[in-house]
Amino acid sequence: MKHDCNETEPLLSAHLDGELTQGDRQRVELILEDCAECARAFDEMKKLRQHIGGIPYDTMTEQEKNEMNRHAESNVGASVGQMLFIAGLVMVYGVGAYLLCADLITDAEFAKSGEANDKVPLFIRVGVPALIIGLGILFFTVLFQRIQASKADKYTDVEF
Amino acid sequence: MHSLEWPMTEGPEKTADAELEALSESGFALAIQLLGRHADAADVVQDSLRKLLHSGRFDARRGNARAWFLKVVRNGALDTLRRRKPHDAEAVAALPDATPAPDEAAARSELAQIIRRELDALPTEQREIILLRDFHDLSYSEIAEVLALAPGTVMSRLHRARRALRERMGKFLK
Ligand SMILES: [Zn+2]
Repeated sequence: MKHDCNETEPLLSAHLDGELTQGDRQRVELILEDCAECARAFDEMKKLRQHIGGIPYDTMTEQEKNEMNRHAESNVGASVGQMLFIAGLVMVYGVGAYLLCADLITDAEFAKSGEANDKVPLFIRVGVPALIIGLGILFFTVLFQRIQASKADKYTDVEF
Repeated sequence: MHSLEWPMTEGPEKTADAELEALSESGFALAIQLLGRHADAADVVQDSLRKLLHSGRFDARRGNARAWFLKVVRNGALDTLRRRKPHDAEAVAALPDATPAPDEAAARSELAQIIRRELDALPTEQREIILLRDFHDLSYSEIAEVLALAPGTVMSRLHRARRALRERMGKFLK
């Protein structure tokens, strides 16, 4: 089959890896059948691939494996703890703030008893809920920014 | 048994533990291949595992987080390489430990040792792509992910790297 050996070489490499389309694969198979030079290049790549798979690189020691396991566990524990803590905080703060603010804004005691003593001054009825909501917004904004920041690690934005 | 199995449920074949261990092992192999020095490789893998678990990406049921993990390991290893001083003689000396030991294991894999020596002598860019394919057995699309390359460029880069290695190997391949 008419071909340029140099230009065929990248295809040989991809053929070895099973990454050719059917058309290219058939072409390469024909070339390999009747070109000694391409066949030799292909064999060399194949031989390299086989031996590279068997190179005895260093492996982790048992101690290192154990350490990594321990590390990983404490990490999972930490993130579960963090999640529970935030969920609890949102609930307690949210519900508590809601109850308190609702009572203040509607001036519930005064509405019930009608006594002047129970009347809460306007600046407290507005000021305290504003403080609580403001503090809540501030706190959770900072909290979520920090969580975002730690999650938006430069390696975690990779899609599968 | 292991607290790691929670909150992940066990897959039909592999437990979360086994999966994590397999990931650590491939990660360590890649780190050693890029860094040469054992302690540095262990640090990079430890750091990468932390990132893996923190990202919430690890899910034993979904299986293959390997390409993603190897990408994190590779980036960590390259950071370590960049931080190394250029005259870090110890690290350089630790790299190509390819002097064949005079025992039967070495004799059996003499060619593998020569290949290793020549691989270590290649630029990192060429060494890593060959190893991702031939040692880690990643597909071209996985290699593209690990190296942040356009999928279409993997074939030509890998081929160039292989040619460079074949040229270095010279007579040993005949
Ligand atoms: Zn040819």
